[in-house]
Amino acid sequence: MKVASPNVVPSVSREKPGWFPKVLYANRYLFLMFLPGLAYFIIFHYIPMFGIFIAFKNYSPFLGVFKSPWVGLDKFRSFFESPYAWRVIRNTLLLNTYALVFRFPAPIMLALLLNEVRSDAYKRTIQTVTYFPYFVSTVIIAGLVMQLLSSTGVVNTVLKRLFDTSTIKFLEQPRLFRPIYISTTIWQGMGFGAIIYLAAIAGIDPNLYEAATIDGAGRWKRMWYVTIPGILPTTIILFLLNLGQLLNVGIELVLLLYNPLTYETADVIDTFVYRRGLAGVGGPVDMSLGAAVGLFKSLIGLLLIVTANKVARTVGETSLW
Amino acid sequence: MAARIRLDLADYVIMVVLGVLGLVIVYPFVYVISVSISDPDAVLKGQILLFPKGANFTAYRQILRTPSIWVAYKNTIVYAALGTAVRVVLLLLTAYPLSRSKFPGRNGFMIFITFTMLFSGGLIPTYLVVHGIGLVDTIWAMIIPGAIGAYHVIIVRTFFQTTIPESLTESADLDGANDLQILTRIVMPLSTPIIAVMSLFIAVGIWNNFFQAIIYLRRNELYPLTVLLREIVILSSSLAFQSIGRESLIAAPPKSVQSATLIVSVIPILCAYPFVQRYFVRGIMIGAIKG
Repeated sequence: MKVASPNVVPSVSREKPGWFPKVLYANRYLFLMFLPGLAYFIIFHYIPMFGIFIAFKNYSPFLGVFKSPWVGLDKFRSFFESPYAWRVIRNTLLLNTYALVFRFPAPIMLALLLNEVRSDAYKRTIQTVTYFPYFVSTVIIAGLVMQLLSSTGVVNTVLKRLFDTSTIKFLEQPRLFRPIYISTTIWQGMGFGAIIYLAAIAGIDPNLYEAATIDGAGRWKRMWYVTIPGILPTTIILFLLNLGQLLNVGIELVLLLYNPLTYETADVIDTFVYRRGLAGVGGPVDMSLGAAVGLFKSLIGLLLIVTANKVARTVGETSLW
Repeated sequence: MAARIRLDLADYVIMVVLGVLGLVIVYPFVYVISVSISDPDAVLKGQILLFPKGANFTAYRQILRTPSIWVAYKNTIVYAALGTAVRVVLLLLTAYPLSRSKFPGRNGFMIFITFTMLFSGGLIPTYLVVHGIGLVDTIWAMIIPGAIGAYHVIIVRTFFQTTIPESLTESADLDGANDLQILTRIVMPLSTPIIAVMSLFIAVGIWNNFFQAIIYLRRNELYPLTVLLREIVILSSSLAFQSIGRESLIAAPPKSVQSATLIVSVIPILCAYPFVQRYFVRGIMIGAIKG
C-alpha cells in the first residue's frame, strides 16, 4: 500500500509493520517536521492536564508541585460551600444561555437577509461593514462600549433629552451587565458569524431553487423550504459546538467590562479562576483553588459536548463525530 | 435568466434593514472619532451625538507625545510579525504530515491533537508550565503559548488533503525527493491561499491579544498596545482599579484623550482591513466546506 522510497529495502516478513524503526526511518522527514508541533501539544496541552493534581493539593510556589501537601477534595469542598460557587456557575450558564437565545440566531438571520439582496455591490458593502468589528481587539470594543455608556456619553445624553432621566452609570448596574455584554458580543460577532452560513447557502443546489420557483414558490417560501433546510446541518453543528461550550464565556470582554459592583451578575467561572487563582484579587493567590475550579469546568465541559453529540446522533443525522 | 430584475417592496425593505444595521455597526466608531476631535468642554457636557463640535487635535497630540504608546506599538508589531512567522511555519509543519496517508500513526496523532479542543488542563496548570519553562516575562510568552490551534491544524490539513493529491507527492517521492524537499519545493508554492489566510487569522489574533499579555508579562516595556489601551481607556475609574486589586493613583485621562487613544490603536486595523477582508472570506470558505 505504501509506495516504497527507492533507498529503503522492504523488510522481510518476520518484523511487525507499523512501529518498526524502519518505518520511522523511511518517513524520517515527516516525523522530524511533525516533531515541534507534537512537542508543543505535549508541553502546553497534555502536561498541564497532569497539573490537575494541583487541585488536590494546597499548592505553594515555594514547595513546588510535588512537595505541596495533599488536601484531597478540600479545595473543591470549600469552593462549593462558598457563596461564590453558585454565583459564578449561575452567571456563566445564564450568560451563555442568553447568548444562545439572542446571539446564535443573529448571524443566521443576517446571512438569510444578505442572500436576498439583488445587488452584489450592496451585499458586499454590508458584508464588509458588518465583518469589521470582529477584527478589532476586545479591548477596543470594551473601550468603545465604555465611551458610549459613560456618564457624558451619547446614551446618557439621548436619554436625558428624550426622557429627562438622571445620569445612569450603566456599567455599575448588575442587572444591566448581561444585556450590555450580549449586545456587545452580537455587535462584534454577528457579521463574521454570517460568513459560515453564507458559505453553506452557497453550497445549496441551485436546482432546488429552480424547482421551487417553477412550483410557484415566492421569495419567502423559497427561503423556508430550500434555504433553511439547506443550512440546517451547519446550524446544528454550530449549535452543538456552542452547547458544548456552555461553561466557556470569553474571559476578555467580561474582565474588561466588569467591576466589583457587578460581580453579582458578571463574575463567571473563568474570571473567578483568574482573579482568585492567578491575580490574587480579593484574597490571596490560591492556585489550588483556581486549578480545582478549572478542572471542574473542564470536566463538565467535556461531559456537555459528549452529551450534545450523543443527542445529535440519536435525534438526527448530523453530529460532530 | 431575465436581464432586468424588478425590485419589489420586500427587496427595498431588506435593503433598508441591512442599511440600518450597517449604520448601527459603524456608529460607535464614528462617535468615538468625533469625541476625539471635539472640544473637551463639549465632551464633558455630553453634547456629542454624531458630529464633532469644534475641531481640536490636542487629544491626539497628547497621546502621540506619550512615549509609552510608541513602546507598546513597537511591541505589538514585533509580536505580530515574529509570532505570525513562527506560528505559521509550525502550523504548516504540523499539518502537512497529517495530510499524507503514508504517515504512520496519523490517525492517532489526529485524535491526540483534536482532543485538546475538548478538554484542557485549565488556566492555572498551563500558567505553571509556561512559568516552569521560563517563558514568563519574555517576548516568547506572547508567541509560544497558544502557538498551534487544533482547529487551525484541521483547516490546513484539509486544505492539503484536497489540494495536494497523494499522486503528486508520491511521484515526487519516486523521483527521489525526500519529504522535506517535497514540502518546500512542491507543496508550499501550491499553498499560497492557505498560507495567506492562516497568516491573517494568526496575525490578527496576536495583534489583538490581551489576556495572554496580562498573565504572562510583567515589565511595562514588554506590554503590547492592548494592555496600554486598557490602562488608559478601561481602567479609568477607581472602581475599575478595584477589580484588579489596585488603587488608582492618577486621575482618569479626559474622554477625548481616551477616544484618541482608541482611534490611534484602531487605525492599523482600519488600513489593513480591505486587504485582509478579501483573503479572509476566501479562507473561511475553504475551512467551512469541510464542515
